Amino acid sequence: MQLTPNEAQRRIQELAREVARTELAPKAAELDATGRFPTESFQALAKRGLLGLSSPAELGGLDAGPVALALALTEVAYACPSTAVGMSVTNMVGETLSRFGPAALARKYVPRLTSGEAVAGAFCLSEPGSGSDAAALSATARRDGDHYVLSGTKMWITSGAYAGVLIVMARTSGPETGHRGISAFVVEPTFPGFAVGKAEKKTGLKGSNTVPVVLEDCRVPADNLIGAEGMGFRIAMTALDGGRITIGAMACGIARSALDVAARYAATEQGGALGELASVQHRLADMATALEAAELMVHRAAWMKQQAAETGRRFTREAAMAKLYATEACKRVTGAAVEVCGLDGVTRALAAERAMRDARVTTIFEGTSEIQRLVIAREVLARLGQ
Amino acid sequence: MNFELTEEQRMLQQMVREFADERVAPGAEHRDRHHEYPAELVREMAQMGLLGVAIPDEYGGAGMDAVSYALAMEEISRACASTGVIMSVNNSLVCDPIYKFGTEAQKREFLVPLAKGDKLGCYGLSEPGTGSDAAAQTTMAVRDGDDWVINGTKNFITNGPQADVCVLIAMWDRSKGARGIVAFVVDLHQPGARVGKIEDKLGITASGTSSLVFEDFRVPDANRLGQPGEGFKVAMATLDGGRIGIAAQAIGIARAAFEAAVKYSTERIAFGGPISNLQAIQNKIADMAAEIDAARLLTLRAATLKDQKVRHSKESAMAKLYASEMAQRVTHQALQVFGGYGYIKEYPAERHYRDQRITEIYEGTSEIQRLVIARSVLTEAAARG
Repeated sequence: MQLTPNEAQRRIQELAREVARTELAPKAAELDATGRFPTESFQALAKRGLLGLSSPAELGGLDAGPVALALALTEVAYACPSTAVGMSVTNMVGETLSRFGPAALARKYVPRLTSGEAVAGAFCLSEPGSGSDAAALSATARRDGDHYVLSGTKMWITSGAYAGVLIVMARTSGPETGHRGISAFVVEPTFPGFAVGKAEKKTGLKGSNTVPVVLEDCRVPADNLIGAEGMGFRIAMTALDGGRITIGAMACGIARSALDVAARYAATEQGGALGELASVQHRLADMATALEAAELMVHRAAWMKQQAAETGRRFTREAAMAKLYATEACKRVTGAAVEVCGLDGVTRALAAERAMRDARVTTIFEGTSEIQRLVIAREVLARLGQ
Repeated sequence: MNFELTEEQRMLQQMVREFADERVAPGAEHRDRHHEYPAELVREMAQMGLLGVAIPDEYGGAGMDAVSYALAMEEISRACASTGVIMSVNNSLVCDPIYKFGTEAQKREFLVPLAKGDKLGCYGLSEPGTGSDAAAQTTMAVRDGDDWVINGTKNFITNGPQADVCVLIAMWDRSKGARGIVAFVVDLHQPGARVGKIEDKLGITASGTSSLVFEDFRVPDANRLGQPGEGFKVAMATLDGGRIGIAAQAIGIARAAFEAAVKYSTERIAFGGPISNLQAIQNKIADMAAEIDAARLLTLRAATLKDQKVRHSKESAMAKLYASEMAQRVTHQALQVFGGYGYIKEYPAERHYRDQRITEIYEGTSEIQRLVIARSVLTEAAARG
């Protein structure tokens, strides 16, 4: 066992830490206050290769693997969670296209994502009536010559108004076919019939853009079908297995930033007297323990994903555990950080309350905690139950 | 990063799991009910090298590492938590400090038979009035020529009724506080040492717990572990390792409770099907599974740091704190899955529930672990400014 990063992973971690602390952190409070989407932050990430961490080198990626991606996301989320979530999705979109192809499609779009030309990638699965029950989605894709015609509304789309490359899940056969009737497409915002709705006003991650994507007879070239017809659900679930690890990694960064704020406050407030109180110490100890357990859970899942490329071993259970554990820990840790800082914790002078708000959605998006529990229980019962 | 066990670690884990399933688990309920010390099992474990897992072969041990030790502790404790703590004390609290702080002569005389399991060890730190505030020792060691004369009572001593050897902590200069403490390795069969009150406990009832009374007990200076004044350091460093063992014990107990609950949930029919179909039960199963894994990762991380000879006080404290409190939640929820059957002694859930409780108390209460962790978090924060 070697539970610390290797040399190559550490280099990526340091690269991410450097850009996060010098270019992203200084803007985090402003983005939270204004809700501005930080296009320039995505350019800064792209310049260092951080939007293509899990894409192959021939498509402009760093091919650094899931562990390095997790480490980098934790660093970026420590500085600016709003940017981290867009980075997470962009990497996921690049990885999905690289993996499922076809090759020509990946060659066309992945370099746009890794270079920053597309600004960001987006992943359009949820709908107004289909969240946790993803297989019940109702957007349709009808074949028409060398095009598909997509219709439907996608909800909660991260970076939706800025993304140059979007993956959209839609039905190529009727609702009775369930998850087998779903296909995945690459859509560009310039395609006729593509529109985005009004940006959502959210509790946290305010610098991240969240919009509905509306497709009205949107014409998509048939070549933009990812994989094959009917593979969409599998593609989405594979992407989410990885996405759960990256959201877990992001939650660790948010939690770490909140713990640092609270520990610094306790160590310095009233000449350090606050930190002498056992009540405060116990909070800090529980926060640090939960956070470090969460990091281990995320790193293990990322390592398993990395191994899976060779061993083929599934990591669904570990990825779900990483997301469940890390995001629930993040929620508790950021809440406790506010409490350690008392009334100062609820003002914007300290970043604790922002961390608490940014943390909140992590137990909801890319699979709610309830869905993670179902996934874990299913895996446990299949293995241990009779 | 690499989360894989080595071939050797996996083999040990497999071997201990089979031994625990075949030999340790079957009598666990009987021993619990009758408070029966597993003397025969301890002998068998000795033959397998489980009483000195991480002690090199040349000193009678199995020559493996702290990760292997944690894995073995989990497997034994999953079958029987009482047997687990007997093993843990001998490994972590007795063999370990003699190996780390002892002279070559002490290793030959004491470590070899302890690691081989020819003798059994115990650890004398707590006193009737000295628990978490371990520096407030009242057992006195007075220098007399080449000997020390020791007077005092040690309390809550695991293996106390059975042990041959004790790593004994005492005060030699009260004016120096924690720096006035001295550690020894002593032969309990010498005159002046006797077993005091044997405790009747809530859980781990098959392990022996007693006080040890020392009255004008003479110990040669050659039996001193470390310098006079280093006793507190010896005691605390020992507990850093011991906490890994107790964390692993807690994980073993939790796993036993969890696996029994999962199995039961697939057999118990309610509302027209097995209760494992109910989300209320599935949610418990998921949380239990995730928490067990988190505890194991914290524990194996602390063990890898110990193997790398890196300071691991914070990491051991985190492992012990989290694993023991996790085991509280898991054994509680497992009993809940069994419903009324969980509350009666025909089913194992109530034993796991009782056995878990001590893991939050001994080798440093949860409250002490939090102080250790917080001190480290605050020091790091102050250093960053």
